[in-house]
Amino acid sequence: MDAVATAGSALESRLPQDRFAARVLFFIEHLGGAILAIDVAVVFLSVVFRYFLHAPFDWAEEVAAGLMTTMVFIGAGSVLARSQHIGIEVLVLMLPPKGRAIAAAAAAWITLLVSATLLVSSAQLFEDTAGQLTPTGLPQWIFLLPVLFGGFVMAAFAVANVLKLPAGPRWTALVPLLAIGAAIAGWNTLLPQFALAPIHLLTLAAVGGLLIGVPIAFALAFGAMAYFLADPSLPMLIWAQQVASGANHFVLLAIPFFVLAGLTMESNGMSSRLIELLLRMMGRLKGGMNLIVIIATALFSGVSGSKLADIAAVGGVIMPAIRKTGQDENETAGLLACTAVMAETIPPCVNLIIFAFVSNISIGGLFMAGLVPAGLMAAALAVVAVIYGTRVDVEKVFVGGTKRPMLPLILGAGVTLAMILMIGRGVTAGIATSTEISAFAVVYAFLIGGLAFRELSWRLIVQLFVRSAAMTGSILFIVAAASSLSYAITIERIPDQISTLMIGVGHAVGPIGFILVSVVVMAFFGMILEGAPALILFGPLLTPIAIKLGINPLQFGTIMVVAMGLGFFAPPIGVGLFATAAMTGTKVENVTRPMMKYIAVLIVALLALVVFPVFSLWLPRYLGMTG
Amino acid sequence: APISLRVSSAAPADKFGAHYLWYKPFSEQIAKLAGDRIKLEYFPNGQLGKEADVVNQVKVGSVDMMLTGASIWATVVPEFGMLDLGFLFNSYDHCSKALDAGVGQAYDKMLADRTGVNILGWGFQVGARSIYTKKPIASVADLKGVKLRVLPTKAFIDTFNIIGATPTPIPINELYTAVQTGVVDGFEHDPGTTIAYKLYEVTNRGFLTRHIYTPMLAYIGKRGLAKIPADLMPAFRQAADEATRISRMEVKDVEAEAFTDLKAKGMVYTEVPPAEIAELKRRTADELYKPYLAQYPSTAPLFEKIQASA
Ligand code: NA
Ligand code: NA
Repeated sequence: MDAVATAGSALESRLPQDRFAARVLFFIEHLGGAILAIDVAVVFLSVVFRYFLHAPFDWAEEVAAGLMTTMVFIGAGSVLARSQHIGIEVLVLMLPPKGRAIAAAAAAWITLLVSATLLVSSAQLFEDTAGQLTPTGLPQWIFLLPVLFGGFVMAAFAVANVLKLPAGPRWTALVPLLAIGAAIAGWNTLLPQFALAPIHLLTLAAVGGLLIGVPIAFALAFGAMAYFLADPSLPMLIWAQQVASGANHFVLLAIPFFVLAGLTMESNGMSSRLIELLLRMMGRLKGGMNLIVIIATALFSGVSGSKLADIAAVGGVIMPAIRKTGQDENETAGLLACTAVMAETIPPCVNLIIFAFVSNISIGGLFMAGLVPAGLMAAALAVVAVIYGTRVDVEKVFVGGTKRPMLPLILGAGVTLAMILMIGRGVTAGIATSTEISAFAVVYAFLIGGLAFRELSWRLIVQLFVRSAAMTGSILFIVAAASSLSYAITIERIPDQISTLMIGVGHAVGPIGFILVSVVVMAFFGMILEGAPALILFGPLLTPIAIKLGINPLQFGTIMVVAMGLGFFAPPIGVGLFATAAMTGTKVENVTRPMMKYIAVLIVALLALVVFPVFSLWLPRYLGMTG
Repeated sequence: APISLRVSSAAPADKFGAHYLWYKPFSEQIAKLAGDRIKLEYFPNGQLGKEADVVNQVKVGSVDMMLTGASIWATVVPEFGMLDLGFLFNSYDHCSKALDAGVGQAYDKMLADRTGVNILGWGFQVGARSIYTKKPIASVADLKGVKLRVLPTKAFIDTFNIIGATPTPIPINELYTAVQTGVVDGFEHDPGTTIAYKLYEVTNRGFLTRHIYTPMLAYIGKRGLAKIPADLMPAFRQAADEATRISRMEVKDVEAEAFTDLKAKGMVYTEVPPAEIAELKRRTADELYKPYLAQYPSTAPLFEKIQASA
């Protein structure tokens, strides 16, 4: 959790230009924190006005999502200033020191190119939409100005990063980059009949960028940018539009809010009490901490609709305890990512709804179909978690009389459990949607947790908002960039080509073979596309083929959602894994190894779901919902 | 090489997703009249993004054609909002008559003048929009304080404030769970969408307000239209006209089929008492149309034409 916890110290320097940069960064980070605070207030008040006063705000959804977009863009800028965007470092680290410096410089140049192009393109978008309104009648520019401002912030910090490079590698790195650019442009101009197609450039830019260590968000955006540049029918302002829209979804709000609630519970004493209690109850059990992770994720998922929100909620509570008890944080981060895959089919789930909608199958039926498979995966993970888990020496953690007396501890932990119950009750009683309830979690953590334990100070509260906003920026900017890439892939009609291929596959290998190939396709595209786009593209293409082959669509849907989730968190490039690493303060390359055994057991469970339809179909059949 | 046109729709590619009702005959006619010289690339299910974003994509030409209602284009040409005013049309026949009497043409010109985008044809959505709830609703008075998810546009929100319900914004993808848990008490939509989003699983009462008969429009951007070679233009226009004619004809059967389907799934429908409908129409005329026409005086002659076509 401390990836962005060093606010205010990293950039301190005596040089006047550095002091100026530090002041700008301070302002930007606090602006992000303030926007997050306003956003919590908007969502919280909109629920209060709707449920208690029967006077909903017409504008709440639009404004709340717009505020989040602002936070994402300026957050992405501030994280860039601190060079804390996540990327793949494992290959770069294999290079000799000189090569490493040049790769870092090339990555900085590419990040600058992407940021500057984003600034220019969003200015064009801003101009193009002048005078337009939003659906509820607010001026469109209100929502685009933040993107423009965020683009400016990003470009400015990207320039600063290039200037900070040592002069040697800075200019040396530019030579191969310009040479490659010129070679491609020259080749395509001189030999139009052999020209590299936009999709080749997309692949080259995205993969090349990732390999030399460009942060994943900028590498994905770079791939999409190359595609838009090469296709004359796609003006660059649409690229900016897709990046801007990628994070503008109301349901994604659960991520910053649960991140904030988690950090708050960590700071105000709620987490420490719950975890102390769990530790003293289950710690002596082999793999006890791991079981806590699995149970907690399943609980949170029963109230939240998004995997990343589950990770934000559970990771925020668990990770500090893991570090305190001296356990392997990479092991826990890997397990956490895998439990999120398991919890994907626990309703409510945005992705199940989307899949059911686009594939024209029953939403209620799919909700029920997912429950037993989630239980199966949870059990499978628990077995491995216990085998590989350790016992925690509870006495070692609480040295020197830091143990709390039992009764206050139980009451204190009760405050946290009451919050989980309140969340569940709030959703099932129809007070709020599973997205909105995350704002209640924040308010609860501040008011109840703050008053109960009195461990919060104003200074700390400001820091919590600032850190959460920055973390949201680094996570959701990846989602935003992936969304622009997904647009390019859609325009290229890759999903349609794959589906044509799949019809042939279905005829050749039969139903089980078809499901297995579909699993591979979903997992592959789940890696780079945030869950929903992969399902939107492939659900309607693959489900009819599955039905024709005699596969029950509820079983197929459950398997597709799990496969997509597996891909989303799969090393080495699953976007969800990067987000998990960001939220837990770990590194993907360190998490990968301990994670593999959990991935393996999930794959086995997934194969069981493929071979035995009864896992998915028993409950919906029992409830008469297979229609 | 054939020219290719990207066509975007937010709806699923089945007959209850109304856009496909227009697109299917259109693509068949194009194949028949233009052979392989025009290739259509269909992007259903909102694959190319939110409708508000696709509007800009059509304006700048990254998408050639878009199938959608009038509402979303009111973000660019606010006068389109008039078509969303409650109880404006009494039936699809009324809608047809008014559109073909020059209202459609006037909107086409307005849109073309301001954005360069043209309207190829005016089809229909699958059925008028009505109210769907869990609890039985027998009269307009029962709607007082009932939280309904409505299409989040100003005209819809104003219409529902007059009806007396509490319009509540909920993203369409969260609607199913929101109705299921009771965040909202119901929603308003057409029967086709009620089927497409499986909303019959969480509601079982339909209150037939038929508050809005919305047309379904086929838009084409400047760049898209310029791609069509002059010699193919008459065939292209003819394909669009045929698609409009066929979809308008089919929509009635599909609507009937949708109602039969929903009833078979347990939906119980109630008619609004005629006196209450008359009262709602009187109030919308007073509280909605008057201020709207004052704000957008250029829509007044179109409004009169619509009234005269009733
Ligand atoms: Na381009
Ligand atoms: Na869930």
